[in-house]
Amino acid sequence: MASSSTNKFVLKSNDDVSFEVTEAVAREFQVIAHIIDDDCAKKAIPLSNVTGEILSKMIEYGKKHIEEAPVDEEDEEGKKKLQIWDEEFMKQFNMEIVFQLILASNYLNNKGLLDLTCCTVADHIKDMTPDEVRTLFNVKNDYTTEEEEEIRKENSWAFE
Amino acid sequence: MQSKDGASPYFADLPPEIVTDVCLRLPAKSVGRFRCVSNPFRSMLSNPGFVKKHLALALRKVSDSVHGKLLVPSRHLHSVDLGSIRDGSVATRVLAGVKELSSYGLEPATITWVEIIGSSNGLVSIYTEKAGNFLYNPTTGEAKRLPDSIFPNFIDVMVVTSTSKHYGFGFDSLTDDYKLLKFVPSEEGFPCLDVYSLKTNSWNRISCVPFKHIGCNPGLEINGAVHWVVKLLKGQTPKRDVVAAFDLNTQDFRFIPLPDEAEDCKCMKVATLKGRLYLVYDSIDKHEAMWVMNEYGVESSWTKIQLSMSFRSFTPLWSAKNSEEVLVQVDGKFVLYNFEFNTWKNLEFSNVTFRKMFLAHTYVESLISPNSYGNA
Repeated sequence: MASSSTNKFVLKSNDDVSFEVTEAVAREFQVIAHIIDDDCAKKAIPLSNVTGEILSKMIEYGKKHIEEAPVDEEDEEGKKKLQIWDEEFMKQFNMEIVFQLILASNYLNNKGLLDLTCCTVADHIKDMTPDEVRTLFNVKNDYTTEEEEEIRKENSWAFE
Repeated sequence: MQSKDGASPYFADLPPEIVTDVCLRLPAKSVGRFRCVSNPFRSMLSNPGFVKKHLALALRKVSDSVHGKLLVPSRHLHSVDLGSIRDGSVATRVLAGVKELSSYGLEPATITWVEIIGSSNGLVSIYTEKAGNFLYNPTTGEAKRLPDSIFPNFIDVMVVTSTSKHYGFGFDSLTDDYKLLKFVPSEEGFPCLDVYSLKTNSWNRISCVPFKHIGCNPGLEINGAVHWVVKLLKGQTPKRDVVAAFDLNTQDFRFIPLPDEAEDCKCMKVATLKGRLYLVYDSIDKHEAMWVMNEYGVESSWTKIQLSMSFRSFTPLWSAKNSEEVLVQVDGKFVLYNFEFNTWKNLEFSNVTFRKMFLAHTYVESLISPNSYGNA
């Protein structure tokens, strides 16, 4: 069996774009790792929920995290470098792309990218008012006037 | 891509588990505000499991400067945003984000001063002169007044309860319980240790600890144990001055000998920084050194650190990730001490003067409710 650094796999997006990646990069995505382990990865691996645009970004993220992986838990400098890269990486996307990256990292099960994209969205919405959140997530305010007054009072510390 | 009612179609389509994942990464304040969105949002954001996971993620970021929070006790408690440290004049830096906190379950008029016993896992244990012990969440303002220990005091109550130094506070991660510890002197001279559990809201007594508690500071939590500098009773070990570590889970003591050079334990206390145990002076005489235990529990790993300033009390409080600059409380004032170059800058508050200041503690912004903890 070839080592994971030379063993190559082809990932195919739902709009028919193919990417050749090393086994290590492919294994960054849990779902693909399972396909490889089940020995179902002889040909190209079709990913029905991910576009080529998103997949290329995910592979870029996966590669970086393989190449620049911190040496160990104590490697604070390595962790910091990767964290700075992550921040820069996310800056290039608008919220619609971030949204697609969340869904794709959830689907392919990459915990690091899911965490990173969720943090980006949290940062984007953290200063919103309840009304703005309702609009963004299309949520109906189902409180009665009395209930809303009560819950506002209970959480008044959050409006200071 | 905005629909006509202003909703973003892509956000409205997020599966509920991902909305939860996003909200887990919000600051505690935003979570409080978003509870007002709708009933389903409130039940998701008030769920005890959510509150616990939210804390775990907040703890992960505790050393990022943007999330650092300091609690400064004076007549009242003040919360200081450590992300607000700005350059001042040449040797000074200025803290702008200072807020007075008022509501910890007491009428302000009844408070003459407040001390912090400890801060752990999103809750702070505070001690007030007139009203005793509270567990307090500085973020939500929620406080719980703790019941008094039902066990007898052997010596005059005023003597044993008048300061915070007899106490220690910490979180037992194995039982998910917050514990307040209190030394109670006994007639035989062996103190007892009373342990309060937030989960059961009750006290237990561990009788006869084999040392005199002589320090002037509350115990300090690190590695799941609360630490004090104590003197062992005669005939126990060659070295009688030790750090006593009370394991919050097993409720046993273990003893860590002090470094040879630091034999006089009366003027020493423990401190912690970046997960390491420090031994620092807290005395009337001036000193210029401290010790760090590089490997927890290993006596030979005590290392002396020579400092370029002289002080009576030097307590490291907080350091930002990957920074050599450490926030230190020195003789009541704050400095940013650089351990790489042995230089320091004074740290001033831009809009507050503290009349009398006790030791400050850092805390993590959390949603933990001291009043409903363990009942859910």
